[in-house]
Amino acid sequence: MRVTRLTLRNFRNYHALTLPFNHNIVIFTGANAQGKTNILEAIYTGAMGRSHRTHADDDLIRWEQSAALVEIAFQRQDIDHSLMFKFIKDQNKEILWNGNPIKAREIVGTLNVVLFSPEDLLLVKGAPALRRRFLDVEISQANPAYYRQLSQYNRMLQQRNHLLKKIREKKAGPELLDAWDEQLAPTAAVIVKKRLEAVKKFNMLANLMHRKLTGNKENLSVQYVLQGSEGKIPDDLCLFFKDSFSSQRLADIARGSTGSGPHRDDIYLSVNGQNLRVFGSQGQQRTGVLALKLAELEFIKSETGEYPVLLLDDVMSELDASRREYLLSFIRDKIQTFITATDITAFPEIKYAKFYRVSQGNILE
Amino acid sequence: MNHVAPINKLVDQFRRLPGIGPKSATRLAYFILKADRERAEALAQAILNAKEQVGFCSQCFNFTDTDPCQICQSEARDHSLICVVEEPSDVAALERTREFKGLYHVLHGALSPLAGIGPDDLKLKELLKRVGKGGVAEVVMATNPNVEGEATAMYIARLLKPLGVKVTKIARGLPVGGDLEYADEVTLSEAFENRREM
Repeated sequence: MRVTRLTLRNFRNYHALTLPFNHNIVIFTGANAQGKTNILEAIYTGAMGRSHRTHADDDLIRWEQSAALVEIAFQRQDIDHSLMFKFIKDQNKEILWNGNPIKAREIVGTLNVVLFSPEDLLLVKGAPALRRRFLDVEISQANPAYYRQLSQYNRMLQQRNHLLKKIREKKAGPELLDAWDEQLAPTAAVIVKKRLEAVKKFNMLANLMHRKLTGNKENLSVQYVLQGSEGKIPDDLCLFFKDSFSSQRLADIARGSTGSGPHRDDIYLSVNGQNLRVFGSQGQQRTGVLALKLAELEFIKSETGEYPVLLLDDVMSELDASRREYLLSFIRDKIQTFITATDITAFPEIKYAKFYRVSQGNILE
Repeated sequence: MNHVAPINKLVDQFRRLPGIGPKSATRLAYFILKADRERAEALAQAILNAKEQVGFCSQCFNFTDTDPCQICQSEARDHSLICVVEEPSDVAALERTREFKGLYHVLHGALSPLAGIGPDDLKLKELLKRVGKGGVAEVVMATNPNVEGEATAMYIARLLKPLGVKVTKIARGLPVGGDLEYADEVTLSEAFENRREM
């Protein structure tokens, strides 16, 4: 997977920009708030159909303009493709894939990217939602059907939670829940089944990376934690969810939300048998995060046959010299990578990279 | 925006119609202005007539100008078979197939707690009463294949089963005349699940 050209019109702080990319590693440097991340955001938006920084597409449009355009030319399996996004104020965005209109939900899986940003450093330490999101984004890119099932699940869940609140306020009867649970349980089962398959593969890949990063001294293990299963994954997941939805119904009504299901699960990370989140040192946790992100690249490659494009947003300065070196040697010849950094000195003697300076929405070679 | 107030009013009215944006609304308004008076009158009259003469059938709740509606009155149709749909437009779609020979029941919506639509907002009690009267052998659920439609179908099925009537659901699967490779994964896996022996 390679991005060959990026065109922006009135996107964020860019008036008009066209950049051809001939290098494997492209580095954008400049002071803060100049527009470095906006470039990575444009590529990310091309891959996922929405920005990682905002839910409101209107935010992407340059100040006092009515529309923005992002065009990404890329190669997948050596075949040229193009994605074009038109963001028009107060309207739904238009997306063209190779000139044909497609829907936002059909985007995921066309251009694969992995984003590594400072928020990812919380992957080990932070809330379970971050780890679920990490897993979901990764599986979705390799398996677009998963993404749709996940959005369906979320829709059902939203409806069910709303209903729970109404039942609590005595505005609806509890018997209505059956109609939602009957769909929710099989969908939850499909999602968890796919997550389990992915985590199994991921566990191997992440450990491989972690061993390399630690000189074979540490073993990283990644386990899926199914809420309410007491450590054992049941054979019939659908039955498991049916039971847990119905047995927790009263508590769910009192709380006004659904207490079990894939939206409550987590990933358990351990190094040499110790809980990484609780007992890991800062350095170990960083290494763990890096191993997870590198494993994500390998995972997408093994599922789709090609490495994704890597976006490194301001993380180089967060890694120490040896991890940085390992990362650069890992990506060097095989993974197209876009990097933003405030400080050029973080990249000693990378002769094979293309450097750009970003200053107030302008790109200088 | 035009500075002639009556034109603005007309454009504004068109804009409120479903599927009409500002450009189409302006085009329609100018078309009407250019057309002769009879044409404009015919349109206005057709709108008023439809509004005055069309109501809901007291049995199936489809749009009709007679009560009961033509379908519910028809001797040629199978009165022991009822197809449940969400909207009157769904009846029109099914009628185009000329395949279904039973009667309909229009719910006028689907269950959606988010949109504040509960069982009492649908023509559900009416359906139960209809089935409860007897003479109905099978109820076919033809709600939309989305989260809300499915929930509605399941809810109704649970209510109807104790009445001893057969409840079925129309199949989901591949569109006829389409290519397998362009079908989305969810539809494909559903089609697989509902495969039939040949």
